[in-house]
Amino acid sequence: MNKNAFRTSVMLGMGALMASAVLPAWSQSSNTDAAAPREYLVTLARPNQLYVIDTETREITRTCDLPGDSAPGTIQLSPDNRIAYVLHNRWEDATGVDLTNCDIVFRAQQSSGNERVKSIASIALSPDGTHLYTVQNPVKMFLDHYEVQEPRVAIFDTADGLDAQPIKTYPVPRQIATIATDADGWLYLGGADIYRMDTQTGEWETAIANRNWDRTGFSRPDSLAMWSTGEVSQEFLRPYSVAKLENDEPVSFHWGISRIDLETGEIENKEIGPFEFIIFSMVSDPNSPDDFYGVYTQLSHYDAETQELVKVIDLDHTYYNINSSYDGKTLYLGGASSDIAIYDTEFNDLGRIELPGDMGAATLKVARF
Amino acid sequence: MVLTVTPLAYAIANSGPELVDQHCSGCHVAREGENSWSRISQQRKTPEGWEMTIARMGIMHGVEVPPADRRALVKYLADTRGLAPEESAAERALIERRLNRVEEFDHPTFQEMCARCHTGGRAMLQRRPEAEWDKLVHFHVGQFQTLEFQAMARDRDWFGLARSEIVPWLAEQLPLESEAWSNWQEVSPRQPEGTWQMWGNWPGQGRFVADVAVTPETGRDRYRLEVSGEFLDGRPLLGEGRAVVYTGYEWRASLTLNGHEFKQVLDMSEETAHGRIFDDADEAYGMQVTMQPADAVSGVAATLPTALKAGQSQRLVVMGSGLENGEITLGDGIEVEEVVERSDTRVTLQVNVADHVAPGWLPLTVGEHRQDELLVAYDEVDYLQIEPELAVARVGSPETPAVSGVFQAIGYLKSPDGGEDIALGDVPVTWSVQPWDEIAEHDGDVQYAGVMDKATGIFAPSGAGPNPDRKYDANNVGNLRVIADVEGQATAVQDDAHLIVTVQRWNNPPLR
Ligand code: HEC
Ligand code: HEC
Repeated sequence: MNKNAFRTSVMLGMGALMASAVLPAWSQSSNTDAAAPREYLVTLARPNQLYVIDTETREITRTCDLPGDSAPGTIQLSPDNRIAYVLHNRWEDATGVDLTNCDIVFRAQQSSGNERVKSIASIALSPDGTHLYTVQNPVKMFLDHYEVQEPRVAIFDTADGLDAQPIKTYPVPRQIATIATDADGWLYLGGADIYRMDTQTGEWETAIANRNWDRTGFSRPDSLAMWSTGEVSQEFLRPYSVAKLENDEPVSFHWGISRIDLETGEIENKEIGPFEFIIFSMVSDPNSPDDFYGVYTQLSHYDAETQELVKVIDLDHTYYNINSSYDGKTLYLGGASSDIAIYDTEFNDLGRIELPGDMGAATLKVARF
Repeated sequence: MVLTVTPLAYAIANSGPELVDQHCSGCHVAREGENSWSRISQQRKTPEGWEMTIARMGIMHGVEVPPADRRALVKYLADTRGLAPEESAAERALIERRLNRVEEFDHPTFQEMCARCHTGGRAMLQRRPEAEWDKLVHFHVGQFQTLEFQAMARDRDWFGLARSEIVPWLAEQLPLESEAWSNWQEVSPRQPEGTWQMWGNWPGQGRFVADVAVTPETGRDRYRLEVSGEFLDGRPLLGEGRAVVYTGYEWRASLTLNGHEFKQVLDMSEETAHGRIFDDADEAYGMQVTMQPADAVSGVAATLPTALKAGQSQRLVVMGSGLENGEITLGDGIEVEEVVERSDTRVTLQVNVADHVAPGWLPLTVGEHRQDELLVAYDEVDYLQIEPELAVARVGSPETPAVSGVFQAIGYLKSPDGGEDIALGDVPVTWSVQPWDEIAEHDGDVQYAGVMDKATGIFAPSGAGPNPDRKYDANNVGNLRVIADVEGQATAVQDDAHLIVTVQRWNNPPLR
């Protein structure tokens, strides 16, 4: 056992100990119905904090310090929702934080030697939580020049502690951002197209063609997908904008979605309504999968069945990331600034939660435990 | 000041190679052959290009170079690895920081791929072999790793296309080795000391002509300049400054004119130098200038103004050389009322232009020199063209001074016989602004974005920051239509232009 691994296991042990000691008291004090899980918002803000926010009291339950800086703060949750895995330190590090006690339980510093590695919002966990996936974009930094390397999926064992190294890597195409796994363990990679990878072999195929789709009468789609939400509706969702063409000339502009049902692996790709303004991120209604809520300078609601923009309101400032409560009644808007806005699905303003720092591009996750 | 041919030895500044060895060779390995370092010897660029590369070595790779060494390095690198005049000719506007222009390139995707974060001209002002253009692409993706995920990049294989389509195209037209450059190195550099005559049109102040005395200062290719002249209305124009000449022709000066601090960029590769004087912080505020040596053999070179309006007594200055003696005539309908001043290089006249003068070119003679298509008479302006057609102004703050909108209205005479129309230069107009569209009208852009000076065409943007009176506390941005109406004639003549008032820029590199 090397020195690092030893320290890791000691710290892990202590973390586990503290967690079990602290948890009962804390869960009693904050939980009215001991059996029902409580809902929290999990996000990051500058300079280097992770916040756990009780959605009922709208108070910050826990503030965890991260090593390095928080940005950009892409988050994925362990299957039991108690550990947040965060991409931070300028996309370079993946760090696991125990949300019940702020212990750092996992850390992979992806850059090493003269190789700088960044993962652009690409982080996911296997359905059993034992493995963590990132897409690594390596660059060799030589003395007087750089050499961009081929990207690769890196697989980490989440039990590997604070100096985790990939246990396996597989080459993948460039330009992959958000990624997710389904219940069967397929790894979905949102790049030019959405790929589906067998994590045992590294083989991949196209699950949903986007850039390379073959749809006459449509332009190539453009999608900005930097927010790893979808945990509430159990889906991997990627909005896109597209033009309908006649004689190669755009005649109308639309929002569409590419979606993978992470329980069944079912795929879907369709337009959901007119493109009238920019949207940074979307969630679907957990009770009604064809209703979509989008956010940026506006908060909007699309009905994919009728392909209509049902409702839109102007917001007090821009927000980057939208999420929904598990009961589908409340929408949370985060990112960009230092306040999380709360709306119901009729877009009544239910208030704000103030954080001490800017969230920037951080994910706003909904955790239940 | 005639250009002569001598061996290239001039260019090698003594301390240059030592400075590169000292500051750069830790990473850029010295290679076989004298004065050759990895990467550094594989590129040529303008002084601004070298300045930006060295600044980047500081910001990105922690290379600390004291200011004096840095200046000497830029000088050495630009002298020995610069661009020939023909190679920089197409991009003078970028070097002169004329920003309100639309770039065009003979490549289907270069604009989208390479000219959306900075100008495409930034690349056009460099010369490299293919391997170096390829390393530049690796630098972009390696340094800015989100580049591939931005709009206009995430819809295509940016890295692949940059290497397969852009790199070969750049390498072909912008190679490291060129005939222009090898020829230029054989030409001895400009020795600018002596007396020059400079003229131009200072926005809001008017046309001026001045003598510029250039004297050498300690240091290679360094000069001092003394400016003394006047505006057409007789107000004095006084100033002084310092200049450096790079690559044998790239004149860069800092000067103060009537108390205002400016930069000056000139191309001195020809006998008469052309370029621009501008405010370093407010680059739109500037003027094209011509500088001609007193000993140039030119005859009549230019006049101020370039057009005379019917029915007025007015000042006219003729510039050139060999003007001291002989009769001065301007054609029918123009009477010289007074010769105010006369020297070899300049004649200042008071002329009276008859009401009935025939619109069109005036035959201008001074002694034996004659120019038939230099000076125009006009009664009414036929049409106007505002320059620039599209301008971007920026709101100001203490950290980032405002960038003005600076417009000129160029009058034209239609040619009666279907020949070329005649430009009159900027003519007197009344300036105003209106909302560009319904949104701008609704948002009150005219009220918030700033103030247009009715007489000068200079738009002063408002202060930066959220304005609580505006929707979303918007910044004082605006989308405006700039309108110029010709003054002093019966027929209404108007033109409009587009002015976008936007937020500050946080970095102002010398080459956008
Ligand atoms: C600490 C190491 C280091 C030092 C010292 C250094 N550089 Fe560099 N230089 C680099 C690296 C790394 C790159 C490649 C990445 C890049 O382009 O920024 C580079 C790239 C360059 C390039 C190519 C840029 C391009 O656009 O392709 C030039 C030219 C250059 N350096 C000039 C200099 C000069 C001149 C100096 C001395 C004043 C210097 N460097 C000092 C590390 C260094
Ligand atoms: C995402 C924005 C972006 C795009 C797209 C982009 N550039 Fe740049 N480029 C930059 C930045 C930022 C710098 C560095 C400026 C500095 O030195 O601080 C730079 C620097 C440069 C330089 C100066 C390098 C030196 O040191 O001499 C050149 C030349 C250049 N780019 C050419 C290109 C070309 C060619 C392309 C298309 C293949 C391109 N750029 C696309 C942002 C961009």
